[in-house]
Amino acid sequence: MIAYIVRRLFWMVFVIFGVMTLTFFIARVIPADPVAAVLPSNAPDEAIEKERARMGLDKPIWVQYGRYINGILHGDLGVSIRTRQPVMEDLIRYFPATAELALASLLIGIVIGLSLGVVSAVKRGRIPDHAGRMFAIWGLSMPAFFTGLMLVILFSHILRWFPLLGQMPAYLRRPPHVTGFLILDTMIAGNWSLVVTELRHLVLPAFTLGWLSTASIVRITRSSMLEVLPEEYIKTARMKGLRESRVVLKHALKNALLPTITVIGLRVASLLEGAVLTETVFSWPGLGRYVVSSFLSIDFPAVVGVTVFIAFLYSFCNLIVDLLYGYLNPKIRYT
Amino acid sequence: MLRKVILCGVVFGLLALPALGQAIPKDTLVIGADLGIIVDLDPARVYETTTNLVIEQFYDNLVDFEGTFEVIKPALAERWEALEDGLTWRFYLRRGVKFHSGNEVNADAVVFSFTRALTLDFAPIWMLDQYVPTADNVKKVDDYTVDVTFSAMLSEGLMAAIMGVQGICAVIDPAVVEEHKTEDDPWAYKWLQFHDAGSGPYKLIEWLPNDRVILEGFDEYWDGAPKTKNLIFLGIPERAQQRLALENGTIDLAWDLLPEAIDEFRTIEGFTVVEVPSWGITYVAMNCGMEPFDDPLVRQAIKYAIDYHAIIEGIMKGAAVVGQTFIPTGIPGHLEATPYHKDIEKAKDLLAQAGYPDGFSTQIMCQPTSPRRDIAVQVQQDLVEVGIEAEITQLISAQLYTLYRAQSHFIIVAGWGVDYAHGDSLAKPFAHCCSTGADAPVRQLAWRNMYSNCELTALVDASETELDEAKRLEMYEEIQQVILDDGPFAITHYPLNQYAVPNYLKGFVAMYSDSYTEFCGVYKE
Amino acid sequence: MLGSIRWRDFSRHILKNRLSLTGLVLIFALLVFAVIGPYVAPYDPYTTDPINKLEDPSKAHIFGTDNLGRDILTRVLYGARISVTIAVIVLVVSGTIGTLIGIIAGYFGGGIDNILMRITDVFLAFPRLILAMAVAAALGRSLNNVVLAVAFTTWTIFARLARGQALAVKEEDYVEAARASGASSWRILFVHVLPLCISPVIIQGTIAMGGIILIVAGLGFVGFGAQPPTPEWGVMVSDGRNYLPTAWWACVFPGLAIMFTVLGFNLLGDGVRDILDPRMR
Repeated sequence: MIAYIVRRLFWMVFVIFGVMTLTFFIARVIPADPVAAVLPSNAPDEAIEKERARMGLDKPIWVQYGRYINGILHGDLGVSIRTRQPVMEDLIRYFPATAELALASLLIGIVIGLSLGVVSAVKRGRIPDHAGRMFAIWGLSMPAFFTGLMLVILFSHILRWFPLLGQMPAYLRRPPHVTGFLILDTMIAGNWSLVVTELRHLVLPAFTLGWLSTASIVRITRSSMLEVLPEEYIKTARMKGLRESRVVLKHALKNALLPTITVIGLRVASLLEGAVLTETVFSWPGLGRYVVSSFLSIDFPAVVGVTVFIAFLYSFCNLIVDLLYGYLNPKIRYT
Repeated sequence: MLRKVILCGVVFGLLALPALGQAIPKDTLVIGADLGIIVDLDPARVYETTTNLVIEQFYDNLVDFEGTFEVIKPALAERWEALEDGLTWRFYLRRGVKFHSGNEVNADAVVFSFTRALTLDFAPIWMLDQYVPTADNVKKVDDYTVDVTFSAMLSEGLMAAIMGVQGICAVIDPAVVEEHKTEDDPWAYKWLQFHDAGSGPYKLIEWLPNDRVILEGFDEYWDGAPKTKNLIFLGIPERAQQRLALENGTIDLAWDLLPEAIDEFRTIEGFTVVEVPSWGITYVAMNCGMEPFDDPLVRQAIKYAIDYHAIIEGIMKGAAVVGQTFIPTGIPGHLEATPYHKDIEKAKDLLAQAGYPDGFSTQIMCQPTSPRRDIAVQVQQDLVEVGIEAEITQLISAQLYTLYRAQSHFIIVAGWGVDYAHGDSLAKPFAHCCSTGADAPVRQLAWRNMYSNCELTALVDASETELDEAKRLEMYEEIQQVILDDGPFAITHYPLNQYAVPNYLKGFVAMYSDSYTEFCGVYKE
Repeated sequence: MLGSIRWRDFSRHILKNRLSLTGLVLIFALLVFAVIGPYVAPYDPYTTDPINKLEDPSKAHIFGTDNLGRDILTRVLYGARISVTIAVIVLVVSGTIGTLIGIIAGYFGGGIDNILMRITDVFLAFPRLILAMAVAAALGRSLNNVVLAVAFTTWTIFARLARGQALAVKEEDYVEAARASGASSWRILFVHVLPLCISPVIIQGTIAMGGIILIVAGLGFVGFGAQPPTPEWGVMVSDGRNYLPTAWWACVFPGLAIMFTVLGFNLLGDGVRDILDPRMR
């Protein structure tokens, strides 16, 4: 088991290195000058040269790469040209909001996905099966930004059920910074009405992203359930006189859950992608918007830093999921 | 299963209940804007209009302006006078003015602020140091009197325009800088990136990048405490969201509404639309260094091909006024002349005369946002009608300005914001160019478009040193006329500043240069 | 297993499944519009008329007009052709590259396999949209670059698949025989292994189409898509969103076009996956 973990970590490092190199060189191919983006069109050229020298962008590319790798080994991802802050600090600043969103989305996706998956399996071939799968596939078929926009118009503008944007109302003060995660900090501060308000702000963005995940979860739950339902022990449970719902939920679902976990791990990537597309729509101050701004303004350090960070996150989540799967399923042996 | 469904339903229902008391409290003003551009709050560094708008609320200058900018208002300086040498202006400071820290605003602070700006030498400094080259030009006379010696004789208007420039000429609290300076940051610019060292009507409480700026009223402000205690700029990058937020009361004012949205608010109950001219110029420029734009006939042809009406009435939907000269209406020196309108026959004729009866291919560069991008598409279509095939390339600022500065564009759709309220801030950029090489002293718009006109350049130089204001304005008119006829710019319009103001909001004054808007006088009924 | 699908059974399964049948219908409609779109469109997609911008849907303009006065129905129809073209090119490019890399890795095994698979892992470590954005940002905004960027992120799917095929086939008798009779490795690769990959690749391609179109739309939405005045759906949604909620048609109709297209491919893909999943039989 330990050997397996070590080997996986080793490959993860290799992959991250490859990711860094690939991104670094992609970013450097561009014939653009991000320094000029930071200063408006009126700025004279001398000002731009000054700024460029200040940022160290006038050195040859190999020197820049070397410096960059060296920096990473010391935990320094470089300084963003646009924000003039260390990229690491920017990431720490924006990550919690996206993490909260991702977690909430995953939760919604799992709850809806599991429910629909179970229903689809139990009522296989009939209307609920088709309706459930259709709903899930529908979520996967719309671009996340479109879903977000439509949901906002419907549920916020027309129906007024949910707030329009942001994590919390503008005129309220944030709770004191403890963890950096808004909802946690609000709970720690004991401000429960604010927690409810923040949850309400979370619903639409989380549902937008969560809907994307339901399709694969529905599919895997459905097929696992279909595999498990005809099994002997299920028939036994039924013959013992247990209620159908109990049979389905307690016995069948538990065993069908295992493959679902692997799928959940894969959703992390799509959640990050979805965040990139929807955070602007909801004025969500997270990593997604940072990604878009950095890429559009070709902020070299931020582009590379963010991409490395995301790749790392993704690999890390996959590792956790693999380990979890292996732990839960004694049939897997790690050789 | 059923239990799960019921549970979900209850949770959903609870969350979906409209929250009670959603309206913004009366003591708080919320302005929705795209805060993505704000990266630094240090006045010596600030250059973008949105950032200027934000720091306007917590910094003061020596002088300030009324809405039309023709009236100079005393701010930290009560009064001023020109000394005999003609180059020096003496400012008498208001007494009893305090910084947010409690320290007094005095001559030392003023001298310190200018010294800091000039020493740090960040990008926006050119607006100051073209007339105030070193810190030695700013001298303390006594505790409440400061002398500023300019490198040329300036009219009062021009002097005030420069002293009123946001950011660079703001007065900063030396004690705060002193407290936060370090060895490799002796002017504390790292600290001032995120914090406040000002004396303005509001205090900066917190800036959460890309999210919001939180400000609180400064009760000891020399002009009285702000009428609304709390001021929040809320980051809303999505324009549709700004519009929705304004309509449903999530914000009190939206800063980036498109003309279509403003139009809708004209008919929505509870709102009034306020419109003032802005100090911007939108133009389509041609690079005279690229064929065939070196031929003035071709340039004229294009000026006659563009559908100005479609741009102003259609794309800008009334959020713009006709204007084809580079000094906008309202600024001293403006030339009222709009000879161009869409005339396909004339354009084709001119092209034929120039030797291009069948047109040619070219490229239009623009930013990827409305309305500039829309204007580029419109121009593209207009050019098709005269036989010119233009490919559009959308570039984000970084790339766009790189190419523009490198003089490697063909046609570009861009805009110019006036840096200070005098024709002087426009004549140089638009008309000063005698050599298109890297040795040129002024490398602004005329240079970027490789429009080399030594006679005109001499006239621009002369206008700078001309003391007689009336004569000076005449010179500006002449310069504008030449650019109008021969220059590389097809100026399409001057945008307007439009706001949809809720009727409960009182005291809102729209400024020509929107970054100078002050919120300390705004309150809710 | 994949290579041994009998097409007749396959089609029968697809047609029986109501969901995948719906998908097939939607895809067919898309292809029809892609082909005939420009011929039946009522207006020119490029002529601007900003004075009449954002007009309500009406008899004259069934989908309304956009922010430059252009007919949206026309632009959506032209957009179908663009989307189909992009998707097909991406599939061909990434399918070819991925398959080649995959069969080389699978057949030759050992060190080559290791290196190629590690490289694949590096590409797979990125969320696809973000990698595509990085490449698109690097290359510049144009439709061609979008194709390259998306192909850059999609080849890995086919590489894995092709490698599996190559591994399975490697041990087969007739391959051994061919080797024994002195055929070169490359010959074996192209004559014996490659043909077996075509069906699975096409099937996998169908499943992946929905995702490809979404990434293209995503790139267009963020700003890396086609340049104006090209009527690409993602760009149209991005442009139109500024005018919500009042002039909703500028954003909604192109969005629905994307939705129905991707829905079609996803439904079909779902049906295909059902067939391939042995648990379903």
